[in-house]
Amino acid sequence: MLAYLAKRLGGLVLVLVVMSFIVFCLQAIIPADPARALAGPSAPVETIERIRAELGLDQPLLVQYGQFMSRLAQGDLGTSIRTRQPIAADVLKYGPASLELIVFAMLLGTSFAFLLAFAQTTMTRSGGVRLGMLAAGSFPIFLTALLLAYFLWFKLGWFPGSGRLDIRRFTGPTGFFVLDGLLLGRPDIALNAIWHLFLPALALSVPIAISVGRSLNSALVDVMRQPYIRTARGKGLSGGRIFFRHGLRNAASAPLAMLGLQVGLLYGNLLIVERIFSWPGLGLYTVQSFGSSDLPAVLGIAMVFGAFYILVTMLVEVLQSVADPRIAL
Amino acid sequence: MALATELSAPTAPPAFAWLRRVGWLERIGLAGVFVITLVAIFGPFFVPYDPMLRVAAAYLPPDAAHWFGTDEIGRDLFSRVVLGVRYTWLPGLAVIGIALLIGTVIGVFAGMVGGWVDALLQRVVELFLVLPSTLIALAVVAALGPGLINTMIAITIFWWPWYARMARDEVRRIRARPHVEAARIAGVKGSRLMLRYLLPGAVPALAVAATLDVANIILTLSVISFLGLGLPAPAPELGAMTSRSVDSLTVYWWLPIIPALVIFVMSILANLAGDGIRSALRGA
Repeated sequence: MLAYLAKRLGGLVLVLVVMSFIVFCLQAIIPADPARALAGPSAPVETIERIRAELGLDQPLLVQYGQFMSRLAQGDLGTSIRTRQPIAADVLKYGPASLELIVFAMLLGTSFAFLLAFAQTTMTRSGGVRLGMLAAGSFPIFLTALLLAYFLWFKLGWFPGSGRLDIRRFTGPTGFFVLDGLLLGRPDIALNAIWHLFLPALALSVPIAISVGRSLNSALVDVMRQPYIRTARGKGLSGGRIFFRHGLRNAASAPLAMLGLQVGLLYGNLLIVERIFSWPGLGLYTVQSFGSSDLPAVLGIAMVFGAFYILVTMLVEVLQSVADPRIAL
Repeated sequence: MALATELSAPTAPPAFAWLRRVGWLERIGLAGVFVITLVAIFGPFFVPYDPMLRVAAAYLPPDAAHWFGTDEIGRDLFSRVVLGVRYTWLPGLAVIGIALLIGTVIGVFAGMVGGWVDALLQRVVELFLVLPSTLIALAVVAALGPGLINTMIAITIFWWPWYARMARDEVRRIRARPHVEAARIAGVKGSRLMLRYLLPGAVPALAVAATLDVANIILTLSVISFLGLGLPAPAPELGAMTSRSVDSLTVYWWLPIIPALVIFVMSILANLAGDGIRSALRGA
């Protein structure tokens, strides 16, 4: 099992190296001069030259790549042109908001995926469910977000439509406000944070629910037809035990892989949802960086998301081999 | 050769037999895709107003004169949306076409040659398939600079590997069939073997995958356009129209909602049409 994981880990590290190479190439081909951008438009030539030397931009490209990789290994992602802060510091500042949102979206998405899979499996003539899933899968994410905001926030006022909390200037020890509320013994803050999380997480969860639900359904239909399920039923095991211990566990692999894949697709959706709900996370940060052509920040955040995606993929691998020990061969 | 000709001679099916295998929802999808293509090509010549000019008061709600209302500087939203359909639909089809062409050529070639060429392609494709594609595509567009052509390039780079793998798998499957073996023994090789004997067998699977992908491409294009990385400001791209008016959602709902709804309609019709083509080809 350990050897298997090590091998997979090697493959994933390779993916990360390729990603960093692409990011480096993108930085190298852009016409804009980062030294000039950092120095400002009216800086004298000597200042620009000095910054260029500081950044190592006067070195050959291969040397620059080596420096880029060693900085990356030390967690240095460069400096944002817009905020003038180290990008790594910005990631620590805005990251928790995004991570909290992603976790809630995954939880909601997985629960809806179960509901959808059950609806599809139990309704034999499920034309309505099929059309509904097709329609939900055809929604551009910003339409989902806008409709949710328009009806549930503006028309009905059930949920807030922007921000993370009602109170301003709240800072907690972890930056995850639900967790902070609990740690500080303020359940009202935790509840308020969940209430604010609901709409953006719901918008993000729709594509997750559709694709994971579809995959879970087809896996369940396959598994529940297997002879060993009939054997278990013949032995007199209860329906729930058959479903959870024998059915779901064997069907879990493909939907888990799909869940991991969805994290890779989450990036674009996260930018849009955070923009629409003014969620102060890395997505909104990236959108603002697009707006001010802050390319180092865009690429730095892309690297962070890439690393996060690879971490999730590894987690999925572990979960898969827990659910089905044969995978670890 | 004579044997191959005899074997492939079909018993002529009745005309439109394929249509009977397609459900009514999917038929609506196929018709809708046809209509959207017509609108995208010819629609902008027949719109009631100039989409780039102020033609009425700003922020008029939808009514008989302005079907979708007017925008923040009094331009007719309907005319702009029709032009927006062109800017979304045609690039979408183009991306699919180019990715399909690149993927098929590379995939069929690798499947036919085999050996280290095939192994190399397999590794490259696997790498592309595990990379988080939207993420890198967005980074590529941001680095190359906003614009429709750059967007199309970035999406195509991440789309062809799927088709290459599919074409390759299909060709490996078909290679073992008797009619290909017969052709080989008869001395057919090179591009003729590829075009006449291997490619036709790979077409149905690729066609189904490509039509089902149209909706995905439309959604991806609209995400990039929403993020302001598509055509620059005055051009009426549907995603960008939505994103520019997001903050007026509560006052002038039609400005962000209608362009987004049109994207939804295009994508669901494309999905239905894809399903239709799948069931039409299944029996064939």
